[in-house]
Amino acid sequence: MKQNTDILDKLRNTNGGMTVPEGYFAEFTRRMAASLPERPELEHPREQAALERAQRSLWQRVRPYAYMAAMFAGIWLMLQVFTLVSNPGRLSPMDSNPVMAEALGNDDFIVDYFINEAGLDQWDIIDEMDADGSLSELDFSGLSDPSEAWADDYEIYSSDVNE
Amino acid sequence: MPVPDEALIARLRDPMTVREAFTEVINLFSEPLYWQIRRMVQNHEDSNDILQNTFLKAWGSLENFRGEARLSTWLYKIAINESITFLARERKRAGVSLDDAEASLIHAIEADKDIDGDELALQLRKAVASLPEKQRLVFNMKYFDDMKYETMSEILGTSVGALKASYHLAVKKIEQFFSDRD
Repeated sequence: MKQNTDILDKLRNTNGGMTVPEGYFAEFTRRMAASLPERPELEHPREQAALERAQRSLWQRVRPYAYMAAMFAGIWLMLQVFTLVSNPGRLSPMDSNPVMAEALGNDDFIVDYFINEAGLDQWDIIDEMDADGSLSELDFSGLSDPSEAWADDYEIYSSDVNE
Repeated sequence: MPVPDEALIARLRDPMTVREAFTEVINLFSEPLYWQIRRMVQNHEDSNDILQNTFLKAWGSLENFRGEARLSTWLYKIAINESITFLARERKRAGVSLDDAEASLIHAIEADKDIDGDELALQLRKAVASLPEKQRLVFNMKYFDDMKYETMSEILGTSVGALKASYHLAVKKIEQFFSDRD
C-alpha cells in the first residue's frame, strides 16, 4: 500500500501522461478570440437599444394604448350593464316590443287584464283619470247630456247623481 | 487555478473593453479548463470542442456573470457541465449504460494518441476512469489541480465534508487498483 501511495505522490500535479499538440494553447486563444460572435448588446449597448426602439413595429408601439382603450371600454360596458340591471325603466320601452304593443292597442286586453282581472271598477279608473287631469281633457261636446251618456254606458252615474 | 485581478473584471463590464478582456480570460483559463475537461473525456479532439463550447457559452451569457461568484468558479462550472453533458450524450449515442461507462472510457484512453508514453501515468488514468463520475471529478480537482475543498464545493454544489469523504474513497479505490495490478 505504501508503494501505491508513492505512485500517487509521484504523479501528483501532472497532466497524467497526456499531451497536447505543440503551441496548442496559444493557437486556441487566437482561434477562439477570432470566432467569438458579435454581441451588440454587450459591446454597443446604447446603439443596440436605440436600434431595437427604432425597429419596433407599429403594433408594438400602439399596443399599450390599445390595451388601455380596451380596458376603458370594458369598464364602460360593465357600468352600462349595472345601470340597466339596477334601473329597469331604462330598458327598451314596452311599445317597441311588437307583442306588448299589440296587447296595449287592444281595448279588450285592457278590460280583460287591467279591469276584470285586477278587480278595478269604473270609479277607480275615473278617480285615477281625474287625479292625473286626463278626465278634464276629454271632449264630451258631442254628447247631448254627458251624464246620460255615462249612465247609459255604465249604468251607475245616474243613480249616484240622483242620490 | 489562475486568479483574474479586479481590473480584468472591471474591463469585462465595460462595453469598450469587453471583447479584449474576454480574450484575456480565454488566454488565462484555456489551459486549466482544458486539462479539467481532458481528464473527464480523455480525448484531445473532444476536449478541444468542449473547451470551445465552454468559452462560447461564457461569452454568450457574460451578462449572467455578476461578479458575486469568482470568474474561475463560473468558468469551471460551465466546463464541467459541458463535459458531463458530452459524456452522457456519448453514452446515449453508443447505447452504453452508466455502469458500462468505465469500459468506454478505458477504450478512449487506450486509443488516445496524445500521450507521453509514461506507463505509470497511463495506469493511473485507467484507475481514475474506474471511479464513479462524481468521485472522478473530485479526485481530478484535488489530486491534479490541488484545488481547495471550499472552491470545489462552490463549483460542484456539494458540502466540503462530502467532498473530503469522496476524495478519500477515490484514493482508496485507486490504491486498491494498483494493489490488484501487482
